[in-house]
Amino acid sequence: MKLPTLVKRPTTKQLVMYAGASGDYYEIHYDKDYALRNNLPGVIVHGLLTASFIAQVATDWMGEQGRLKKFSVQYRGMMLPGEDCICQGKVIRKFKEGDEYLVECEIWAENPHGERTTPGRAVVVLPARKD
Amino acid sequence: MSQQSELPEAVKKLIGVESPPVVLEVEKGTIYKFVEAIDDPNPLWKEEAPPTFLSAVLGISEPGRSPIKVDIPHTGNLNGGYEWEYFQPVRAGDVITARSKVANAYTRSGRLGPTLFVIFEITYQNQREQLVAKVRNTLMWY
Repeated sequence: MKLPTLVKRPTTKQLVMYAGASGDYYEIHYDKDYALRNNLPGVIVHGLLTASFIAQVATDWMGEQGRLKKFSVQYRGMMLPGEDCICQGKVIRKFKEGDEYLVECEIWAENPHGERTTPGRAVVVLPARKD
Repeated sequence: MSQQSELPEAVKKLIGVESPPVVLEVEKGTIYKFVEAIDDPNPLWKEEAPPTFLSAVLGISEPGRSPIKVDIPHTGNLNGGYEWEYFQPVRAGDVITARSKVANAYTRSGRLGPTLFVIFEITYQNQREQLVAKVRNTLMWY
């Protein structure tokens, strides 16, 4: 089962907002000259910002009664501002642990070239169905 | 094991080392600005912080913020990713204490040449001494 796709379009302004909100002032995220001197194509999206985008795929889907129990991300590639960040997910396992109904999902972010730069996993707790 | 024997002394000494605690008083405005920055309109985040909040604002494994310094010659440093486990919500007014420790370190030959991997484990507790979250963060030096 696929989770709804979420397309984010990070802008350089958003990277500045994220830097301020997180306290991550590493220059590769807002200073283009610095990024180019460090062999980057330009400023790049903060890893945790991309992680926030893919977490949203799971938290949007789980609903107000759901709870995120586990979440993991791997940083495999860069995301650039000004490009679409296509975030997707799919259910890979449903199971019960004690009293909890759990769903494990694969979630990931893709750049416009179809490369999965940020794969991840999420385990959500869903309220019990009244069967 | 052979990989452990390739570790620089400076790194071997860090395995198992615990950092001093780092404390954050969670303010409503901090959560608000973070939610605005990540552009996530979920109404849940009016009541609690989103899942990446603690690592973003109190991510004490990152080289710039870590009380545990990995002091070796290197060309660059990369973040491999995170694994989070959540136990309690984080709300405005909470006082969160973060503690990190080096859980493991090893060297591997990778795309960028010989690479040092350091796995940090971070625990976050609130003012009620409840465990709020546990995180494993993999950092690399090459």
